[in-house]
Amino acid sequence: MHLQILSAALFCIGVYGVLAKRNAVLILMGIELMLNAVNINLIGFAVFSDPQGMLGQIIAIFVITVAAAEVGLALAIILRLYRKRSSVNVDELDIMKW
Amino acid sequence: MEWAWLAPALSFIACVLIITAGRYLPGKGSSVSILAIAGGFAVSSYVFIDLLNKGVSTFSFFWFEIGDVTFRWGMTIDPLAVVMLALVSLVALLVQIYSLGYMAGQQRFGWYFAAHAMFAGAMLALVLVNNWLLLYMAWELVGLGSYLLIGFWYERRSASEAAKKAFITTRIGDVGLLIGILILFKATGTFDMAETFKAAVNGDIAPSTLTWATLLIFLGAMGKSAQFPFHVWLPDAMEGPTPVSALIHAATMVAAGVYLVARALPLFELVPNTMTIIATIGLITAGIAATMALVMTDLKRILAYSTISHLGFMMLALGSGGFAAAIFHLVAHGFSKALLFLGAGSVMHALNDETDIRKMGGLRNRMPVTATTFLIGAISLAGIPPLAGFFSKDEILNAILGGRHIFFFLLTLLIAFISALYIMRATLLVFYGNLLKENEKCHESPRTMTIPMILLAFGTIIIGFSGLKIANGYDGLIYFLTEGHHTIDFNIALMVISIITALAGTATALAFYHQRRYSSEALRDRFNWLHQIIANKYYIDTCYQWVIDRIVLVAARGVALFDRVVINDKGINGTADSVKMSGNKIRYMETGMVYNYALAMVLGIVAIAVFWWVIIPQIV
Repeated sequence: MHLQILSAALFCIGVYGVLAKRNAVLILMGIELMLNAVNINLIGFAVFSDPQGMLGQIIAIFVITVAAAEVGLALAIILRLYRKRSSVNVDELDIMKW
Repeated sequence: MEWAWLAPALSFIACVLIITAGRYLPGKGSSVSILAIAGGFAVSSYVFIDLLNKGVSTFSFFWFEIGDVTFRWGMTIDPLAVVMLALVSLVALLVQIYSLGYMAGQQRFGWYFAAHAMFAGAMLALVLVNNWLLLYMAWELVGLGSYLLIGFWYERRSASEAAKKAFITTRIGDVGLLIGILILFKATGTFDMAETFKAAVNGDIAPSTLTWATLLIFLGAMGKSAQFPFHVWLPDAMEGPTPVSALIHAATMVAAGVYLVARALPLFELVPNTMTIIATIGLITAGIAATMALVMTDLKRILAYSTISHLGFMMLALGSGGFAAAIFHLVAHGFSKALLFLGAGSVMHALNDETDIRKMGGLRNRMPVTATTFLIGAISLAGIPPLAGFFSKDEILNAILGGRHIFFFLLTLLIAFISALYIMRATLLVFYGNLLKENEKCHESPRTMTIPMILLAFGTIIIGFSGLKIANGYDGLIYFLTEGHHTIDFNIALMVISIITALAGTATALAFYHQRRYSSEALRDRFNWLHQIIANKYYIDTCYQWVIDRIVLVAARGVALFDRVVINDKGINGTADSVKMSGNKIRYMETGMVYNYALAMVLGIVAIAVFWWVIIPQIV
């Protein structure tokens, strides 16, 4: 129960980070936080609901892998963006608007 | 005899050949077309001999079947078909040879012959088929050929207008024909002509249905054969080249209507009311056209109105039950009128396309062959023996006397008088009298033009005698046509009356125009009101134009307006506009800022969560 609350709280902090931060790297950190919150949730369910405790942990490993790959890709994009504009402020990325 | 279908087929093949490979063919395609029609004439002669040996026959083979109705390709070889085949192929052959001279050096020379070949093929097919559906197909093709040939010089506005007028006027008749055919089909379940005749004779068709069907079929004949009130297209059709006028509007296409009525006569004879209507319309047509021919000053228009008048005669004969008389007159008139038109073309060719007879005169010495042949044609048309016109007109008078009220007969005599009068007037004004100074340089036409005229003149002279029993075993054309039911009647009193009428007309013409004993101008001034009415063609064209302007064009404009405003602007453009406007409003959602999109995503997830865990359990 406490693990679920912890996981929910971490998730909300991650959402706040994604929505309210101007720096692209900080947005990424928010995404990472969300993913890790999900991991905690999964492990919690695995330990307390599943006697063997295998399934939740396997899914958590998958999530960690996917998070790592995705962060690599996202950081590469941010690096290109920085080289072009010398800033990682997402407020300035408004060319594709009406 | 089963090769009779070759006659139209050869011409159709020639048409296709000329259209595709015309410029590589000798004579730009004219030789192919002439060869094809000569072949057609040979085939028709062979078929004629075959008919004499073997008698009537029918051929057909299967085409396709829908439900329980079978459609067949078929043809009937009987005396009527054979006579028409011979007439059409011979006149078409002579006219095409004439066209070599007349149209020499024209642009689109090859296309002219292609259209000619198509027309000849369609006309030959029309007289052969025994199936209403194929008849209608050939009928339409013939109308198309006429349109193409009338509008041959389409750079001229008047020519293309005339072609349009011809096509639309005959179209009204064609619709009637189609509906009539469909009524017959609905009543008898077959398109085969012989079977419909049999069904009608047996009484399988209700009288009212048969009346409607026959009236509508006659409507088709009225359109094609320029009967009143559909005669308006024929004078305007003179905008086409003169050989076209000779072929189509003298001998063949306009004869298609007469042929149709003749072919369907078994049906018409069962409905006496229709026969009366046919005879009456024929009489009216003959009358008003004869009066109009009398006041025209354009040579081709005189001949055109004369054609309408004689077609009226043919319809009158058919309406009186004189089937053989009408066909005999068709053949005699075909030869005579084609001859007259070719002569007119020869005169026009020599005088640089001048058609006003007031500007002609005294051409007899400069153009002897043309003058002589024209005179022969005129005498035949007037009905003076021993030429063809006399015999055929005599037969018609005979039929009218036998089948109709005396009133018809007397009026026909009057119209015959007027016929002689106007054709002699034309001859005298063109070929006799004084030669105008500007015409002194004219010369006779080349031999390609004069030889067909001589041949036609020859034909005119001898066709008349084909009605008589001139040889052993040959009992005359009438006997041949009606397969032995009638022979030519020699009513001496009638012959004398018709000769007197024709000679009276000729004498009047001589008095007015040659000896100048009376002045035609004085007569015209005295009856100016009458002259105005007739010269304006009884204001029939004016009526038609009024109907078109006030009714048809107004309706057309209304429909066009509806099409443009409702269907185009609102329907098609409107749909596009509404898409554009909604897109215009929605585009403000694309702010381009990342956190807006992230917010949208989060809100979406929340919405799904609420939906999934709160709303769904409540519904279920």
